[in-house]
Amino acid sequence: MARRKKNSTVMIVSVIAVVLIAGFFLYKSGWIGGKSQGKITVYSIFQEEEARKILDQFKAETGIDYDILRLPSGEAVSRVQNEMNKPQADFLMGGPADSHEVLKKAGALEAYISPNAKDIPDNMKDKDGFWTGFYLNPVAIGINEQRWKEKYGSDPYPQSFKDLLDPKFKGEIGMSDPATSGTAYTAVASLAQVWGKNEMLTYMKQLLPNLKERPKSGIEPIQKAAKGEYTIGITFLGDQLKIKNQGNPIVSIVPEAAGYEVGGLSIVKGGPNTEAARKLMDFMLTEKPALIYTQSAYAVSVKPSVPVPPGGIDIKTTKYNQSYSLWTAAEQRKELQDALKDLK
Amino acid sequence: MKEKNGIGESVGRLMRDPSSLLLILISSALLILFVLYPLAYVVYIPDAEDWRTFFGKSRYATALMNTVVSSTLSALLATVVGFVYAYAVNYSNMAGKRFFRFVAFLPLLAPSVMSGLAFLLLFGRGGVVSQWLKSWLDVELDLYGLPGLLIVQTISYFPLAYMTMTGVLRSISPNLEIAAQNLGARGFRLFRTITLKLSLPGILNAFLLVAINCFADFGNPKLIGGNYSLLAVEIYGEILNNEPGLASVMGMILVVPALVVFWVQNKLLSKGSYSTITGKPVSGLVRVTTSRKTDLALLAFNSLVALFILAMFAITVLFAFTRNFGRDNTFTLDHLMKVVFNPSSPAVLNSLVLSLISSVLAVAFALVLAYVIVRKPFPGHRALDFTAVLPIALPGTFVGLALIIAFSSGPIMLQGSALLIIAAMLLKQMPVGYRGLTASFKQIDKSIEEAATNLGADSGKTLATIVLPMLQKTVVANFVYAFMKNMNTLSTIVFLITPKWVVAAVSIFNYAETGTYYWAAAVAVGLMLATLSTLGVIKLIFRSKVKIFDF
Repeated sequence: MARRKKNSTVMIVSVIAVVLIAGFFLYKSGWIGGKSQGKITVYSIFQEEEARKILDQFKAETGIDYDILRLPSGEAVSRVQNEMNKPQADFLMGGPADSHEVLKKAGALEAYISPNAKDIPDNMKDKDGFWTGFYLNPVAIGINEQRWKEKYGSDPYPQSFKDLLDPKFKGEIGMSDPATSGTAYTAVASLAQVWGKNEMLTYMKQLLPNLKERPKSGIEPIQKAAKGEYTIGITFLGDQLKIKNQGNPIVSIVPEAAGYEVGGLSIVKGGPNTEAARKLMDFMLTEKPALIYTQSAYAVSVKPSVPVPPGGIDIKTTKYNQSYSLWTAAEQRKELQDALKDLK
Repeated sequence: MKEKNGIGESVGRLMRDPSSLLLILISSALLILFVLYPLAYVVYIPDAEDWRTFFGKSRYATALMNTVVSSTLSALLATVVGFVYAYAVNYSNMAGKRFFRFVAFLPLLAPSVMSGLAFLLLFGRGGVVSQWLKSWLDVELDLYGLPGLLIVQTISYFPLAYMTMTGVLRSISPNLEIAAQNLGARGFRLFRTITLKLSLPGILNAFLLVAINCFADFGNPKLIGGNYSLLAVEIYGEILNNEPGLASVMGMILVVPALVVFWVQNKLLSKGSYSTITGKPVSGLVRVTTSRKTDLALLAFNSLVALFILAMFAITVLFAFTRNFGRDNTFTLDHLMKVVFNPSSPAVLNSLVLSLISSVLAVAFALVLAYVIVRKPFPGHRALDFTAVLPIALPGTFVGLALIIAFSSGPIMLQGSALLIIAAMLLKQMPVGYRGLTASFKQIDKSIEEAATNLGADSGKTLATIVLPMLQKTVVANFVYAFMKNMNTLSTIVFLITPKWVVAAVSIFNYAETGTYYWAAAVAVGLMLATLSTLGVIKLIFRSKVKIFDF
């Protein structure tokens, strides 16, 4: 009797488990609970926190739920390219527009000119509508003031990229790997445009001993610098302001020849839910997401009507490289990245 | 009646037993598809140019050197720590043995990247301990790179060494030590000439096991390696850079030492070790091998290791449940609600479901395979046996790499499906169960099965009604082990996740890498809660039949 009872418990538990698991798969594939109009799948180069804030808002307004995977831009580009015969994602959110340009050339993107893109200046969107700009963000040198004082006292802060070559910064600078991070690539691509490829490479070679590490994600150096892991992080200005506004002692300097990103949005060609992707594009180009993003990520919106957030810096007041061409950067991407790989 | 051998006979027997034939065909097909096909693909994909690039650039040579050096050192450290810890728990009279056994079990619960994460939070330049040292003693900790990596890998893999060593130490008969003592050996001399000598094969085995694990470790080097580049991390970079050829070359190089170790181990095991020759431990005899002073020293050593492990868990929990630990210590459930209990962030749930499915399949597959190979010899069963245990020797990174390369192009496209993640987990865990079950089968007399066959049951029925109940304990134990490993694996599946199928270990890694430490900690805590509650349910179902929480 006892044994029989135990066996039936096992049976019941396994039946419940099978039903639950089957239900989970059906739910994931959108078979049940489909009153929300399917799911949209997003590759986000934004930090996940901001992306989730915006997508939660989108979900509240349209009822479209989302799946999200955060990736550095290099990984996003190679993923979308690799998946071209069976796209996994519908929408690519953020990241320097030159990565979107690479994908456009590869034929991996779907053209869509949103009616809401009208007021965006021409140099911040693709003329064929393969990608549309969302924010602007220059590369900057971020310094942990507290650690600076401990190490260098009242020395003046470095004002240019060349200043960073000073041997006193040995192991005190973090910059991500230009091969995987759009941030670091923007920095070197701009230097290549201003100085020429060879001088940029010489510079990077000289900079290496001063670099504590080369992580793959763009934001990481400033987070580590803020935590006191090293003194200086080279990242986009917005990332630095965000961390500064969380109460960390960060000072930001936008040096001459600093490139800038036009953070782009694009729709993946042949994704599982292109319809929803178009809706998301329309939504992204309204003011609400722009406000959410700029207030949280401290970048400047491409829309003239969206104000610079409190605590933010207007890019026009900085010494950024205004002649930086993201189209050239996209063209040189493979060549520069290969050359950089040979350093060390 | 004498059993007949020979190919003709065995084929004939199979033809009369269609359900066995079916089992054999299905398992062969699965192994060919998920083991041999991806392997062939990885070998085939790089061209001469990729090989030249690999051997031409110093970047890769450095990574290879670094990998060899760090794995050897980590394995050495972990083995020493594991041995001393196991010696203390099994041979000394120190207090709190139960507690120390419990602590050594804890890291099994934790995702492999958690030690790296916790290390960052404690000893990173901005970590809690480092900040404390800086403000009180004005000492600056800088453990990025090799030193940090050694510490983290030692802590992560010490349980593996500890468990291996415990098995070895327990199998040494106290008779020998007592005899040696009667002959006048005492203290260190006794330890050196008897205990250490007898456990040497086991120590070597533990060292090799840890070494190949370190060699393939991906998450920890990525988090705290700094500029100290390692092969597994370089492979990841090349996959990101869309250079599958170069990644394959490195993958193959990563496999070489693992295969060598695998071969050495098989040699070692088949030869048998000293310890088993001496026979089973004699009950009633209690060895007294340590002095009071040694006991105290061992207690101090074990407490230090335990402190490290407990601190790791404590810091993770603190980060998970406070706003931003160190800056704002207000208690909050916010992080947990955002990244664990949130329908848009199902990483922990994904891990749970995929691990469960994969572990059930792995054990079922292992059972079928062990059954047909041990009980129903057929032509080619040796090849099948080899293919089945092969994945043990393959590093997780390599398995993931092989699957993504083979199934994202070419005739069979599985990219982006949960199937690929399940397959990857299954491949890594199935061989462990298969080995265990093969051993169990050999111990069980086959007369009962034959009786069932004579009474008209086919293979499927025999397997379900006779074999499974007899092996229940082994099966459940294998399931539990596979499940815990699957929940925590990172390197095997880091290439395979998609937005729909993000798993917890990868989330932790991503959050830790982008510096969102509180989310990383929250997912780690969520994952451990999920593992614990599942184990609790299993314990409730099987009660005394499984040992999960017995230390």
